[in-house]
Amino acid sequence: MIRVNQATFRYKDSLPAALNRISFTVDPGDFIAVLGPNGSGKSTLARLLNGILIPDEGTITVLGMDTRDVSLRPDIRRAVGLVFSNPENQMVASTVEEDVAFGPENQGLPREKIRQRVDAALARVGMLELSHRPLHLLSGGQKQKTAIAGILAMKPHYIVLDEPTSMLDAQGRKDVIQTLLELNRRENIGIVLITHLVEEAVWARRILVLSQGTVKMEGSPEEVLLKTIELNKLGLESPLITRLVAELNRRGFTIPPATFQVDDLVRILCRSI
Amino acid sequence: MPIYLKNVCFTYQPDSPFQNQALNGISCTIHDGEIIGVTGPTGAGKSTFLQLLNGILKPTAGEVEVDGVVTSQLKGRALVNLRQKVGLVFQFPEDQLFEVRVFDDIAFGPRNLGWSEDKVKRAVQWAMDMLGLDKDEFQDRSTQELSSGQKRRVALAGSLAMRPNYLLLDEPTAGLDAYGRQLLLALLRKLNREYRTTVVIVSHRLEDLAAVCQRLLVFQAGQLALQGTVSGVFGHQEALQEVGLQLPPLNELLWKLKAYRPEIDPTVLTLEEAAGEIERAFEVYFQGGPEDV
Repeated sequence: MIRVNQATFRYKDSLPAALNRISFTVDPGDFIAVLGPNGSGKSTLARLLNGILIPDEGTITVLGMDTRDVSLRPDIRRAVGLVFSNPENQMVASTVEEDVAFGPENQGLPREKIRQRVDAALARVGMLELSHRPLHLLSGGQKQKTAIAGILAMKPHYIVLDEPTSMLDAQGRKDVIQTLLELNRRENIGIVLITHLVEEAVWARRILVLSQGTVKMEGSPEEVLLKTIELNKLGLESPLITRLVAELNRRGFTIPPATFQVDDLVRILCRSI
Repeated sequence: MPIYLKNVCFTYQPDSPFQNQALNGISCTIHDGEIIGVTGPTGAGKSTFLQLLNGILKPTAGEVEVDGVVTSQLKGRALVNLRQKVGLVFQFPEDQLFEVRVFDDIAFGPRNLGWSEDKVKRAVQWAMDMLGLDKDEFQDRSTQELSSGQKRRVALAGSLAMRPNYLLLDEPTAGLDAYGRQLLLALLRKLNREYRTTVVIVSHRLEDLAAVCQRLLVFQAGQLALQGTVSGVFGHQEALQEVGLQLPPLNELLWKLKAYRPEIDPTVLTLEEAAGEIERAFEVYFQGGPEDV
C-alpha cells in the first residue's frame, strides 16, 4: 500500500504550498487517476510518491517504508516506478532492449536473470519484436511503452505515470492506456495515472480531483464525472459522451447517465433496435 | 493575400546518408482570412510544412509564395519582414521565454523590428490585452515565476505583438487543460474575426481543429492525403483511419451508429447537431420509454 498522510510540499517558503495536507491511499492492484487542471500540483504529487521529493510536513509510506528515510530510497524507487510525459527524457541507451536492461543491470543481477526480465517486460508491453530497434526509430507510443517496460523490469508494485500520453498521437494514447489496463488487471500492478484528460480518467477505479494543491473531489468515475458544474468550476469537463447522453436524456431518451465510452453508448442505442 | 505552395518538396540533409524527404510535391493554397487546420500522424511533415510558410525553411524544390513574393528569393531585411508578417508559435513556446521581465519578453520581437519604443509599448499592451494578461499585474513580473499556463500566454503575446497577418501555431493546445484550451481557441477565433488574421493550426487533436477551423489539410508520409472542409474530411472515415488519425469522439460514435442507421450524418460538428442526428434516427425506439422497446 502507498499511504499519503497529510502531506504538504513547498518549492519555496515564499510561495503557496504546491500540495497542501493531501491524504489518500493506493491499495495493491488499485487503479487511481489523479485528475486536475494545469498547476494543480499533479506533477509534484507524482514525485512525492516515489521519494524524488520529500514532504515538508506529513508522511508518505510505500509498503510501510517512510520516504524520508534515505537508506530505504533504492527499495522505494524499485517498488514505485515513475513514467514521465516525455519518454525521451528517460531513455539512456540506444536500442530498446539495452534501455530496458538498464535498471536490472544497475541492480547487479546476473546476465541470465537480466535477459529473462528484459524479455518478459518487453513481451508484457507488446514490444518483444522490436527489441533490437534503435530508440530514435520508434514512434512516440512505442517509446513510452519502452519506458514502461524499463520500469516493469524492476518488478515494481506500483507504476506512477505523469501525463504519459501528452506527447502522443491518438494511436499512441490508445496503446499506452491499453497497456496500463492489462498490467493492472492481469498482473495486479497498482497504477496511479496523473492526467488532465477526463477521457483517460474514465478507466480508473477511483478518481482524485486535485486543484490548487488540495483534493477537491474523490470517488468512482460515476461519482466524480457526472458532477459537470463542479468539474467546470475546477477548469475540467465531463467526458464528451457523458455530455451527449445528458443532452439526449433532455430530449426524452432514458440512457444511464454514467455512460462514458463511445462503444458503451453504441451498445445501449443499438440494443434497442 | 493568400499563401500559395506549388509542388513543394523538402529534404533534410540532402545528399547525405541521413537524407530524409519530409515533404513531397505539396500544392495547396492558404486563403486570406481563413482558419485552417493541418493534421496527420507523427512524422507526416506537419511541422516542416509550418516552417516553410514563414521562410525558416526553404523548399528544396517548388515554390512557396507569400504576399506575392517567393520565399526562397528573400534575403536579409526582406526575410525579417516576412517573419513579421508570418508569425510562428512553436510547440511548448513557454520553454523559449528568456527575458527576465514579462514586458521585455513580449517586446523582444517588436524591438527587433526596429519599432519606436512608443509603438513597441502599444503593441505589447494590445497583445497583453488579447491574452487577458493584466498589464499592471504582469509586466514587471519575472517570467520564471509564472505558472506554465501564464508562461504560454506570455509566449503567445510575444508573437502577437509583432502584429502578424498570418499566425502559425504548432500543437498550441498540447498540455493545456479544458479551460486553457477553450481560452486559446476563443483567442484564435477573435484574432481571425476581428483582425482578419489568417490562422494555421497544426494539431493531431481533430476535436480542437473541428472547433475553430473552416478547412483541413491532412498529411501522410510527406504528402497531402486529404483536404477539404472539416465535415468533408470527417466524411472520409476509412482514409483517416488508414492515416492513423482518430476522429473526435462524436464523429466516431456517429460513424459506428451509421452502421445500424444509415440515415445518420456522421460529419456534423457540434454536440447539439450530434444529438439531433441520434434523436432522428433512434427516437422511434425510445417513445414511451425503454420498457416498450
